[in-house]
Amino acid sequence: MKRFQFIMVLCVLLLIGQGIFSQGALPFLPDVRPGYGVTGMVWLSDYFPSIRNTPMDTRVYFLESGKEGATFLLFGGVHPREIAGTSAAIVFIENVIVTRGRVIVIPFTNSSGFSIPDELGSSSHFLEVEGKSGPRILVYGDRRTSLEDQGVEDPELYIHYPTGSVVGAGDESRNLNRAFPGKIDGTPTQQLAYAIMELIRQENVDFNLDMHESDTPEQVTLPGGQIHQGGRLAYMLVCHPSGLEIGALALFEVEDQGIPMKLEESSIDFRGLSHREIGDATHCISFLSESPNPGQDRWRDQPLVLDDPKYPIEHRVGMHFEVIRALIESFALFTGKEIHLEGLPSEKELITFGIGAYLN
Amino acid sequence: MKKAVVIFAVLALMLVPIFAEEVGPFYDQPIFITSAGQSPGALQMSVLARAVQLTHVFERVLSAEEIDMSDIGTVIIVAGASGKGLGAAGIDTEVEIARVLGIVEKAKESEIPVILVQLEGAPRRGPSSDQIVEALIPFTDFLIVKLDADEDGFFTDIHEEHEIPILFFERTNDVREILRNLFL
Repeated sequence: MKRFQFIMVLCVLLLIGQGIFSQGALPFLPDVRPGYGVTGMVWLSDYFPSIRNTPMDTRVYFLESGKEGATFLLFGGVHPREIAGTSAAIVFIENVIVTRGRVIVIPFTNSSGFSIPDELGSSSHFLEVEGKSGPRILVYGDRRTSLEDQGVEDPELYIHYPTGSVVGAGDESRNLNRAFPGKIDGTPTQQLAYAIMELIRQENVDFNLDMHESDTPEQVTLPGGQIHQGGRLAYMLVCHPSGLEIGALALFEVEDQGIPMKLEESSIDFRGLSHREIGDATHCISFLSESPNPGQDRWRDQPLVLDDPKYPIEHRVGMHFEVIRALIESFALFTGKEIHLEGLPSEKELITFGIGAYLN
Repeated sequence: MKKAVVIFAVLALMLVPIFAEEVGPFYDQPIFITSAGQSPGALQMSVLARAVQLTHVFERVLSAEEIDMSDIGTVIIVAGASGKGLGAAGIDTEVEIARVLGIVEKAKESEIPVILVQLEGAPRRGPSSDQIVEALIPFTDFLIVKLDADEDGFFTDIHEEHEIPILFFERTNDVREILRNLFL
């Protein structure tokens, strides 16, 4: 009898234990201090419950005017080391008020990648900035989902779903920007991409911008005498074919603000990227912007990822803001659907006052 | 900086006969716009032409045989080689050069002027882009060039050697005014 009771108690304890673990844990949650423009916050898992209670879930902020207009989705942190995209999203959430249309913002799109430091080792994981209410921490994560959160070993080669094209080495299976349009029963990274697609579909998003960074365009002579050609991606706006004219017009305006940028059309040959797959699979017109991050220059010994004299964070965040402003204007010219913003700092204002002046 | 001053001085001398003594339009519409190298510059030119409300058609990959020149007033070729763009079109630089040469030769047969544009500046300079420009120069009546694409004097040398009128611009939006002056 006693033995039976012992087994029963053990079973109950096991069930309780299982219950606790099946609840999972909240994802990595860096600091965001929303401003008055934020009208609501939901979780990405509200659009795709399979990622709830997993490290892949993330917060989604709504800035709604209540007035008819376009719906714009802005996201940073698809690659968590590309810190200007995330910082731009945070500053947007903390400062902007939308007076027509609505804007949806995801600042930490791949939460898992933010939970681990950058594998390049070019920056500290946590970077302190003096904000309006005291010290603020900006997170410099890795490019990919953590191996632990992915839960499976990397394959030898990464094959994109659903096209079946070989995208690259196996670790690219944890690269969110090779995983779109995602897979409903796929790996955590594929499910994250799928969740973003669900948000776009369910919220009827008209156009989106995915903010990234790349190595800088600096051409340098390396110690061995070799010439390092600068990166070609920085200062680029990549457009889905459906948005190429909108992007072209937008870049004329960005150039007028003193930031010349290159226009690039999404290639059909490179699969899994947001600007290609979102535009192919939905009616949302998709764009991707690239600013220059010294932390991604492999030739630098100790890059200054926030305070580089030529590429400070203020310039990079400001570049993304000039793109946002111009895209919104251009989208309205082509479609008649408007978004009006107040409180979005210009690149010049960011450089003058510093990013801390725009962190609550 | 010194060089820029020299270039603008050259420009100013050229602009006098072009825009001051004569009254436009200097070139006729409709305009046929195409790329030479499949960079996005041609599409940007199309957007600029639309902004100035010029009657135009934009075709990326049509060959000379597919184009009816009877209604065309001016051909604008936007030079800029893009590996990605050429790859997407399934062609290489040599095939692209042959395609645009076919177009400008047909334009010349019909006495249609050809304007060659370098719209995307220094980032769109390189061996393939320069090869395309050099191939088209014998058929070019007018050059429009972004100033930073001429840091090595490549386009200034062409202008001087071939006596082709040239206009430089600093910002892409400045091309709107150039188009107005040339076509309206």
